[in-house]
Formats: sequence, structure tokens, C-alpha cells
Amino acid sequence: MRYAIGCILFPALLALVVPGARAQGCVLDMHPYYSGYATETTDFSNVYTTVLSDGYSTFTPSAGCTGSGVTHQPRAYNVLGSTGGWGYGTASCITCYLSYQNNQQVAYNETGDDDYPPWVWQTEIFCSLAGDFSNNAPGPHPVNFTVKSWVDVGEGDLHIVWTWASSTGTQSDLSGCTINETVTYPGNSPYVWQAPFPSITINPNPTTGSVPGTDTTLVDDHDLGSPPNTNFQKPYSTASFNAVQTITYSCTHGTSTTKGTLFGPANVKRSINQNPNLSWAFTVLEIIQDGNYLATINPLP
Amino acid sequence: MRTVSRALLMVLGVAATAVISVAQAKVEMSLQRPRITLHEPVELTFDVTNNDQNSVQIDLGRDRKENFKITLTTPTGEKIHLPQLRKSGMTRSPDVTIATGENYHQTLVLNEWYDFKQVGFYQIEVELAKPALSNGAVVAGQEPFDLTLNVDPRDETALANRCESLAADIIAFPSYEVAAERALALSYVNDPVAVPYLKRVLLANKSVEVFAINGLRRVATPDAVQVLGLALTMDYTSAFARAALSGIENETADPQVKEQIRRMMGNPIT
Repeated sequence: MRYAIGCILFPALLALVVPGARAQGCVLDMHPYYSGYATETTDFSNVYTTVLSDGYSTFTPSAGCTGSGVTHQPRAYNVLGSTGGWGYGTASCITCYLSYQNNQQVAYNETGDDDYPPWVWQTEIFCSLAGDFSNNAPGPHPVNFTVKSWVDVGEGDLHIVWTWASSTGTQSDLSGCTINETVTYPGNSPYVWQAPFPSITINPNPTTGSVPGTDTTLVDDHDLGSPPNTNFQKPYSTASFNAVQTITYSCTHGTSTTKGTLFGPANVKRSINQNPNLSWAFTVLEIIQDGNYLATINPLP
Repeated sequence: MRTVSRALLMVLGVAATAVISVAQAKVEMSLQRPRITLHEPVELTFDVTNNDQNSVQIDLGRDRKENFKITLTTPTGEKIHLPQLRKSGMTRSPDVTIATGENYHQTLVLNEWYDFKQVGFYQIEVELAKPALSNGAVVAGQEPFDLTLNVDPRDETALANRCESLAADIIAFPSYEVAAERALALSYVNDPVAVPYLKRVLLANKSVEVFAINGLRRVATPDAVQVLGLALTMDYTSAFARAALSGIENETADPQVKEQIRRMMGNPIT
């Protein structure tokens, strides 16, 4: 399952001076609280996208500008491949809560992790008096997130170097972006690895990490703690558990924030298995774009 | 006379060479505020300037923090060699390349290494485990930096001012990197005064929510728990808030806080 989430928030004060109405002394004192959210998911049969435009405004009437009869309409643009377009919600009063969602889907072609159809989205609020005033779309964001290199550095540490670029082609445009990971272990927080694995405490669970989007690379160590704990507990037996890793981005540009998924959710599987010669081996394995990335301790002492 | 002149020229030549050599690359470390009040974060500024004709490389270790070696002497005279910071999982690439004429800047929050919970005078020695290189040759960063820190008694006004300044920087959001550095610092204001500022940052939608949650977990007062309850209801932060609340519940000796968390986990604020 791959998914992406995007959102644009407009919590800032907006004091609109309406040109056509100003001669009549109509100054809108309005605080808009509109949001745009976008999600992309797949069940590997179809790709589904939703774009939601919702929120409300507060409004203080002034002389000659009661707001009576003025409406706001939520609009959402959602084009997945060649499917979709603009959709319009119901126009309502300035202070009414508005919500409109535009859904699209296309067949999923399983030819690789990056073969999702192009997706373009945008949300806006249309005011019958002032026109579009929350016209926003995602800003620069990370693209081409791929493994640059990886190595088994020993002591059960799978060391992966990831790289990415800016959607604009200029890395410095990602100054408002961060790349984050979440790794969730199969249990409560804190999570303690069970025998025969070393007794490693993951606290908190999930774990997180983040790097600035302007960096061009990051490193990811699926290891046995820091410093490494290689005290595997005897008697050895066949055992395994999965941690689930998701790598996302979040970009803030002005008053808008866009979020999306770059990789995952993906299992990071740690296992202990017996070799044909009856010795034991530890493996940490992550499957990335159909490739096996792993580190081992073989044989275990 | 001629001999003296030659000798003088040679000395000048050596001196000039030394100056040029020093100027090729320069590593500087200093405390942003050498005098603070109790519970304020301790921030170290790290700068590398490259005036060499070649690029300069420096390996700062995992998350660009591992290769800072810190030794400090506490107000009671105890000398402590702090363990190097080594983080698992996703971290910044350790290798930094500084082009000719460029500068690299980083802020470290020393509370990640040590909890400065005593009032008084600290001596802090910071050195790099690996110096800066150019074409494989050491060009800077071999010498340790000796810094001094005065921690004055707790002052709520000073703490609030510091929190306000950090929160304002985060919300102004000049870049994620700056916001994250400030959020990390704010998260180490281990004092109830920090709670409203951490709440503001949590709700500001500036991609630094996890820092705020970590800060609230450290403060762990009923007010901090209440704000974590808000985070529990937010999609992106819910899992982190739940882990923070579990941590507080496990560690606190306050039965009211334990009960508050139990109620919250069973019935989140909506």
C-alpha cells in the first residue's frame, strides 16, 4: 500500500478590501480558516486520489458591508493522469462551514514504484464578492527519492543512503521542506526486542527522524542500537519481527503546507535462522523497489 | 645587515605562510549565550569557513553530531567526558563539503548531551573527532575549543522571553533547518513555563510537531499532558503523542498525572 497525503492550510488573517465595493465603504474584516487536503492511495488494482477543500471564515460586518447575500464556494481540482478536473461544492454564507471533495481513480499499472500516473491538484474558495482568494497549489517538493547506495557495515547494521531532488530542479527551493521517517515496531511504547534477539529497548515507539529537504542525501541505519548491542540471547531459535518504515515529506511555503509519502510503508524484517551447518545467523532485510537490501551476522557467536 | 634582513624576510615569510595556512579554512565554535538562567537551552554555534582554493570536507558523524567530543567540568568540579551522540535510523549525511569561499553553519543544542541542571559555572571543551580536510590534508579543526557557561538561578521571565523568541523564530519559518534547530532548543526548556510555547509550535503547522511532543514529554506536568492530549487527536502526531504519554505514565510518580493519562488514552479529547 502506498499513499500520499497533502494539505494546504490558510489560517492567516485576511482583510479583504473589495475594489468594487470600496466606494461604498465596504471593507471586509474576514478571517479565513480554509484547508486543502489531498491523498493518494492504491490497493494495487487502482490508484485513488481525493482532494478536499473545506473550512470557514469569521466575519465582522462594517458600515455598508453586511455580508448579506455574499457566498463562498469550495472548489477542488483533481487530475490523475488524464482523468478528472475541477469540481465545485455548494455555495454558502461567509461564515458557513464548507466541505467539498473531488475523488478520482485510474487503473494501477504495476511496472514499478515510480509508475504512478501524474497527479495535479489544487483547492480554492470562490467568493461571490471578491472572487478566488484561497487559490493554492502544492509548492516545491522532493521528487525522485531513490537509493543512492547501501552497504552491510557489520554488526548487523544495514546502512542505506537515499537521495532526492527538487520538483523545481533547484535544491535550495526545498528550504521549507523536511524529509521524515517513522518506524513503528509491533507493540507498545517502549518496545523491547525479545529473545533470542538482543534486549534492545525502542523508546519511544514509533521512532522518528528528520532531515532538511535542502540536503541532497540522507543516511538510514537499520542497526542494533547505538552503540550496537550484539548480545544475542541463547539458546538460539528461529524468530523474526517486522518494523514498518514510512518516509514522508512536509513542505511549508508561506502559509501553505504540503505533505506526501516518498517511500513505504515497508517492512524492515529482522530474523534469526539456522544455517545448514546448524550454526545461526541474524539478518535485517528491507525490500526496496523489488530489491533485497540486507545485513547479516553469520554465524552468530 | 643583509643577513639580518634575510632572516627577517624568512621570519616574515614563515609568518605570512602561517597566516595564509590558518586562513585557508577556519573552524569556530562558541556558545550563543554564555550566560543563561536555569532550564534555558545551551546552544553551540559551529562554523566552518573555507578560504582555500579547494573544497573542504568534514565528517561530522551520524546526524552531524556524533563527531563532536565534549568534556565538561560541572560547578562542583566534576569532570565528565560525555559519550558521543550516535543516533540510529534516519539521520543527516555526515559528510559536509564546503566550496571555496563558502561557510557552513550549524547550531548544536548541548542539552542533547548533558542536562545542565545545576546553577553555577561550567567549563566546556569541545573538539572534533575528525578534523576538516582538503585534498586529504588536515586544514582546520584539530584544536579543542574551551568555552565557559554561567547558569544563573531559575528566572521565569527570562525563560518566558527565551521561549517566546524561539517560538517566534519557528513560526516565522525562514527555513525548515532553522525552525528545526529552534524547535529542538525549545524542546529542551525543561520547565512548565515552556508548555504554552510548545503548544503554539505544535499547532503552528511548521513540520516540527515531533520536537514539541518531545519537549512536552520532558516537562510532563498536567498542563503538558493536556497538550499531548490535543496531539493525540491530530492525524500526523497521534502515534507520537501516544508514545509520549505512555512514557510519562511509566515514569511519573504523580498519581493524578497517571490517572489523567489513563483517561486520555481511553477517551481522547475531541
